Amino acid sequence: MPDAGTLSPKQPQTDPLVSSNDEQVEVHGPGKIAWKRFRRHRPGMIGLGILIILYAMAIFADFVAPYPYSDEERELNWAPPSSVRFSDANGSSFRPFIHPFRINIDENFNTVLEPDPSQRCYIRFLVEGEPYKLLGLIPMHTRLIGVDTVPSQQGGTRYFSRLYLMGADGGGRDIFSRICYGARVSMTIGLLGALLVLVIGLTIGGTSGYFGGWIDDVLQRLCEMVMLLPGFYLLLLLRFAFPASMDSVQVYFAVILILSLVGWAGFARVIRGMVLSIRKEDYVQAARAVGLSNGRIIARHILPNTMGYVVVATTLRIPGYILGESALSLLGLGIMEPTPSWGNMLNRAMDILELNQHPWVLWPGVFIFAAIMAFNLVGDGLRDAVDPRGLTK
Amino acid sequence: MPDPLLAIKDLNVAFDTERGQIRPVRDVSIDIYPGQIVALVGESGCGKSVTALSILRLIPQPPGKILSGSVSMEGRNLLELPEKEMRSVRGKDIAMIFQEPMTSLNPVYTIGDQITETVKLHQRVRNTEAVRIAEDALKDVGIADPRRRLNEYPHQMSGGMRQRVMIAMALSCQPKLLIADEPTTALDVTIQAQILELLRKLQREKGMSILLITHDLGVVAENADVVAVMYASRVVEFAGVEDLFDRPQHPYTEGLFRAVPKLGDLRSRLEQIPGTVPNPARFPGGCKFHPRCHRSRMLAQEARGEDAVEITSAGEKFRVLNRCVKEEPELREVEPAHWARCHQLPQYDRAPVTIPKLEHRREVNSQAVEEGDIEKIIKQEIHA
Amino acid sequence: MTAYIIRRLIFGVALIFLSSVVSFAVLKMSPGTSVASDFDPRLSKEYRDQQKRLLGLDRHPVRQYLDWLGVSHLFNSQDRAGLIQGNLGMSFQYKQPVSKIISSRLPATLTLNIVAIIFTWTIAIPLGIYAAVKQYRWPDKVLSTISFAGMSLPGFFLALVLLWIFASRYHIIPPGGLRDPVNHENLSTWGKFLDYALHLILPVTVLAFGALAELQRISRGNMLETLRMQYVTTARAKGLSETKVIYKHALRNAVNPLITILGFEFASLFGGAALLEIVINYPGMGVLLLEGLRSKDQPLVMSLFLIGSVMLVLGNLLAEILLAFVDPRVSYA
Repeated sequence: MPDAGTLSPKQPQTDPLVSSNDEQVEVHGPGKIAWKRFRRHRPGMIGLGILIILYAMAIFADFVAPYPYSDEERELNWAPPSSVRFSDANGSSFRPFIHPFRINIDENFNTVLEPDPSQRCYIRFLVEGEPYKLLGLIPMHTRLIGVDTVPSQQGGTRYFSRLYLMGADGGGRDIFSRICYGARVSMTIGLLGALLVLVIGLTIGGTSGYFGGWIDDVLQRLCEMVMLLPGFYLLLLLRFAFPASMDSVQVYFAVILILSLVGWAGFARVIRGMVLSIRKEDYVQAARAVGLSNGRIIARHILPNTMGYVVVATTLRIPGYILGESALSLLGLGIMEPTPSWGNMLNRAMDILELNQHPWVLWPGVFIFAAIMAFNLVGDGLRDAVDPRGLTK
Repeated sequence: MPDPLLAIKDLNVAFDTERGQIRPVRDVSIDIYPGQIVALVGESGCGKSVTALSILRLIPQPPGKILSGSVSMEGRNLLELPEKEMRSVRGKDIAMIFQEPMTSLNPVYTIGDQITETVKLHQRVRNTEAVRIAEDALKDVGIADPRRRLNEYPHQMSGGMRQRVMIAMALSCQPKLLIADEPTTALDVTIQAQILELLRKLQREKGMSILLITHDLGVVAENADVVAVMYASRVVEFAGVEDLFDRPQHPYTEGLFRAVPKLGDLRSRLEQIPGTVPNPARFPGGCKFHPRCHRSRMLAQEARGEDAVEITSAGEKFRVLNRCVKEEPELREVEPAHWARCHQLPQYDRAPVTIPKLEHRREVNSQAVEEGDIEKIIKQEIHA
Repeated sequence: MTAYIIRRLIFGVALIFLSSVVSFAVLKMSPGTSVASDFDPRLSKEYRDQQKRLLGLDRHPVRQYLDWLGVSHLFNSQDRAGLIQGNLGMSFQYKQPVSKIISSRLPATLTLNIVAIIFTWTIAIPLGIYAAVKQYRWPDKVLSTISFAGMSLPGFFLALVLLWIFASRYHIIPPGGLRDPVNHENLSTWGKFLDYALHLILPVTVLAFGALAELQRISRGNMLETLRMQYVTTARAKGLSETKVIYKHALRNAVNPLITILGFEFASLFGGAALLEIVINYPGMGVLLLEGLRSKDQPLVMSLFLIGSVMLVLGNLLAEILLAFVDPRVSYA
């Protein structure tokens, strides 16, 4: 019943992007059409917004973070999050402020860290801070946010004017600042891993699907061999193929390599499936019938038609790679201190006593969740926009 | 005149979509008399299937809804029946078969399960009796070794065979009306003929009525008593089958005929109706057919300046009559027992607006049609 | 059918063999040593060499692999029995048969995964069907949102949050582990059972929540697709009630494809919870694998990988067989 079918809600017939006979229709490229559809997908747009924020945090970490990631204040270890206030016992203020920390000795001669409610450190924007190079090029020392300082020695008591939006870690380092810098690792490692998988997957899956025959057989057995090993097991195994102690940069690239070695097989199969289904389409048969060469058919007909699906499939796989990196770093096998990654910052939370006393150590997990959610939302929106046939499912 | 078996009156159906409401069925009135085969003809998307599904109230609600109108059968308005009573109409009084026999049967149940399910639902019979009825039904539709077939699954059968099973299932409860929605479109040509002949035979034997939905004029010529042509959600022409083929009134109907090849006239080219079926979300104003209408175009060439306007359709600029763009025509009885929806018929302005009712039976018996040539029936009206 | 199963099994064994070669090669590539005493400078080189000989590590890696397989034993009965003889070898680290170590940990991992899968499947499928039937209405929207969030929530993070709230703040559940380290032995049988159950709450919740979200989405999608099928309209046109249409005609078609996923679940019984087990210190396969890799305990690690891939092959095969039983269209002739 073709009539009834075309009348259900999400049908292209009612879609203004599809031509109807009475109007002049602009001809859009597939990318532009997909973008128009994507823009109507509200969850996808929310996801995109979150991603933009997270990547901005990563790129401009020096500017957004109040302190450099390794900036320690040993005495303020595990300082709780500063409560940002507009009023205290001395009245209210238009400008937000925090109370500075002071260190006291209690009756048992233990040091006690507490905010001093009688003093105020006003929060200021665009303040002078530690110098850095924006994007690694432009020397700057302006930071987005900071606090006024109070004298650090007052009558034998030590005062600390530090802004800890999400508390401090065991070294007195600002967790929020470290999250900003950690985004550099966590938000790029998954992306680069996915890109590497994309290259491997396109090559192997494309070859396999397009040529078929014994090439397909060999490559498929290879994929199955890898897929037979449980993913997390393989992740750990590959990690141990690398030396235990490497510097940050080495670990970073090692993790990317590990992630792509775990992920390529599954992705290559997805690509193969797409190529197989597109190879059967009439226009490819037609191209072959008029005698186009293999290379030309792949480049002109198959690749452009797989592009959309490939982008969707890649996006939906990034969360897996983010998780992989977090898991490795969480177990102390990935990015090493002092370089922050969201995963290794959570490492201390695995100790129930630490978790009990300083639950703010969980904050990086919230960002992992947000990043994964955002990629899933965007991937879902992209799928609706470019893949109405559901090839990437 | 006896009472019609089923009377559709002023049916209006709407679907809510992401971008506003569309109206796939507008002011459709069709009567079906006992023992009559009524054909509903049109291109896909014209609203014929939605009309059929609306009779059984099977359009998905939401997003669909029946705005107004009535579907009367034996004194009851089906559109107002409680759901429970409606269910006893479905399958028992009115049965339906579909275009795709490959997907119309549930793949995980046997043929026997699916037929006896209908039988047991509508007739108070025991299991063994239901199986016997199912077996007879399969025999009726010409399936050999029905007992064995009952235990088979749909995927073990060919498309034509499955359509026979669908017909057997539909007829197992002796419905008074069978709605056949493009029953042969998905089948091979030779199988098509067999299935249609089977339908005709069963229709004669059981004296039921058929609402035959199709886009194939050959099927109409061979089977229908009365024909309703639909275009853009509306019935644009309604007549007995001979009248329609002898003297098509609406330019759309004419266009359909010209797109059918004629025997003995192999040299002349087939003509297409220019343009495409309009998008139901954005029908043109006035007569819905005007952007594709050759009659309006032709008359506009001779018309005075203010009577014609220039429009653009399918990338082409041309002039059509002003009235066709501005005013929507009504369905009028332009000849006795022949209704059409076109301003540009000379008799349109004088013709009365009556409710289309035709208790007509085809004069040519179908045997003749099968043996003779279709040309006798498809006589082309040549417009000067 | 039997011929098909046998063919698949032979194929599966070949594939398992190849992937065990891969994992062995990767393991051999990894730097470091398996022998703890290597790091002890007080021990003589002779002693260390003797240790290596004892473990068979003085041989060529290819030979080591053949030793593990048990091929060497076929030719020389002096060599230790291997996989072909049904022997998984001795763990370097624990100085015990690998089979004994794994089977002592197996109940914990299996219980956790089985309970989680039972919860997941009994909750997720009805929820998915329900959401599909209520498509575009608020129950569907609420469920879709929750399962989307659930899909994106990393299990280890959820575990840590639950630990913080329910273990450390409110002391409702124990802080990880398999049983109470102090009191367990003094409890009655019933008390011991309760103690185990209490320790299962957290990991089961975490595992089930993530899997539930995914399965709910899939079963909803399947159901929606099925509801659009022509035979569903046929069933309605017959005069069947909506309940019958949905639960007799649509449901079976929507649920059948899920059997493939059930096959993967079977495989994950063994290794699916590894990360979570490590994070909450639940003594299952995950912890065993990590320790094994850390100490390069070759026989142990190889055995864990082997069992993992055997489970996957078996799971897929079981799924295919099951599918042939429930779906008349599927046959393996």
